[in-house]
Amino acid sequence: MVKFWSLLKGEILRLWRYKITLFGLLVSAIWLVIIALVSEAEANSLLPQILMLDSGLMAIILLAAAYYYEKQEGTMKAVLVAPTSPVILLMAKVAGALLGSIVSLFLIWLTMFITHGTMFPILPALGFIVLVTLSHLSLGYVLIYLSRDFMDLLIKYTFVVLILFIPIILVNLEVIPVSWRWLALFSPTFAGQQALSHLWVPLRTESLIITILFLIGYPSILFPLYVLPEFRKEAISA
Amino acid sequence: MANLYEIRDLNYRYNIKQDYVVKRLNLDIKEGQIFGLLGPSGAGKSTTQKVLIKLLPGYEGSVLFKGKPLKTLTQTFYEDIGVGFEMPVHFNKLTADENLKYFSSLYKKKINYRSLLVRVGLGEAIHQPVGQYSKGMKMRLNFVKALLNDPQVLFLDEPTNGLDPSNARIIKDIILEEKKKGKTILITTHLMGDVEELCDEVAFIAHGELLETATPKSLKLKYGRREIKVEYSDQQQLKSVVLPLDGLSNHGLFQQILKDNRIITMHSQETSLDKIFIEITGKKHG
Repeated sequence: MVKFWSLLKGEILRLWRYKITLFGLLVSAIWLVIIALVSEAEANSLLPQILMLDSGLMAIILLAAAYYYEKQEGTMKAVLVAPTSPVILLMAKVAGALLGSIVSLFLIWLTMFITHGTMFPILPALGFIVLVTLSHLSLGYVLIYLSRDFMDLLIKYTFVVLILFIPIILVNLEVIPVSWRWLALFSPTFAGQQALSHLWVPLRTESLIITILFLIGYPSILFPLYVLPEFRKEAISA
Repeated sequence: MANLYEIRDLNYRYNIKQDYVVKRLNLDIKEGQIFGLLGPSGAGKSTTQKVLIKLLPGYEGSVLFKGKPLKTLTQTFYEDIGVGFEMPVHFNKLTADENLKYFSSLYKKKINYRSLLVRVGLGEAIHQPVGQYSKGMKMRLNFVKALLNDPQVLFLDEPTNGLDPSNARIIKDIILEEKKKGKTILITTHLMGDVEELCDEVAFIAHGELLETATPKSLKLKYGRREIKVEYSDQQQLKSVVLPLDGLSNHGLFQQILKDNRIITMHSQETSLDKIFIEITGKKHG
């Protein structure tokens, strides 16, 4: 556990020095300005999408930027010859990325309170943000390992984002019948947005449980079966 | 001395479609010695080192570390291992102090790295981002990083590469001091000067195969020519002759030179390790 905190501390410092945290905060600042400028009702309707974009899709970009800096410097190899396991190292990296989403959530929560005097339930929001970020980070790692370089990743990312948004569009246009809507949950972006919407418009309990299970599914399958073996392989070859 | 590593029939290839980069390697590395792994670029030295530091687990054959199979050892194995990679690996936007503090925090045992930084000439650059360092400074920081946990076994890949003679001297002195403390040091290099000065035993590898294992001295005896080169002045002209060292005192020409000419220089013709390196690695694959 001591190793995890040491690695996380190092990761936080690294993300700050490489200006990845700063970039994340600048993006958050855009959301804060939007929230402050619109009415309370508009802010409440926008928040699930904003939180989804920030903790899901932005997290992938920030993770990729941090990864390519590290790959360039080959530093992961140096950590692997220290008495710490690749699992702990990966956990620290994921926790570092997660922290960015959590900070952003608190800033948004605080802005809602300061500018509109309303608060959304922070603890359930925190839980959903963790799930949304983890599911998107697991996809982010898959994209990283399937890409040659950062540019290649950006191209693939654009394509994947399009695919992730198709279910949201189809559901909003009511193209998918209600009885088949669960299929849209295969998109973690749709599942994330649905879970976050629950903070304002409660879902039926069984719908909420299924949504959460889909969100848990991605990281539970991808991290141990694909990300971790690739993480080790890539770290050594860097 | 007991064996630290016992390597038997080690084979390694990066993927199933490729040829083996390490082939049927058999090697013993004794505790407390400086062992040189030598060979031309792409010979399989770094791959062998990566196997020995458990970075490449998918090898064939057997590797024992202190009598235990390497594959069975846990991450605590690294508490006593220090690794200096050939290409310095640092977080370039962090200072030297931040880099060392981060890596040091991963070990139970720690040294006072500040005094070591001062010794290798980086004392004043400790709070400077590593990205602003020269190649030589990064190499020296890389070396300090390898010693952070006061390791019992030290792996150094080209430790003096890119260093000026005075800084290379400091690094070599520290390596010799570490050896005196009873540590085992494995050096991967193609700089024969370092090998001659530092190594107790060397192994030559080319194309993934072990070609020869010996002490530098015995290699010189084996491959060296017992000859002497004499430069002398003969009627205002500088001349030179190479004579056999054995029976030199009775050699007619030598006696004549001594009697009739002024000797300018006289050097034994020891074969350098550079020549031995070329001869050994070129003999089989040249």
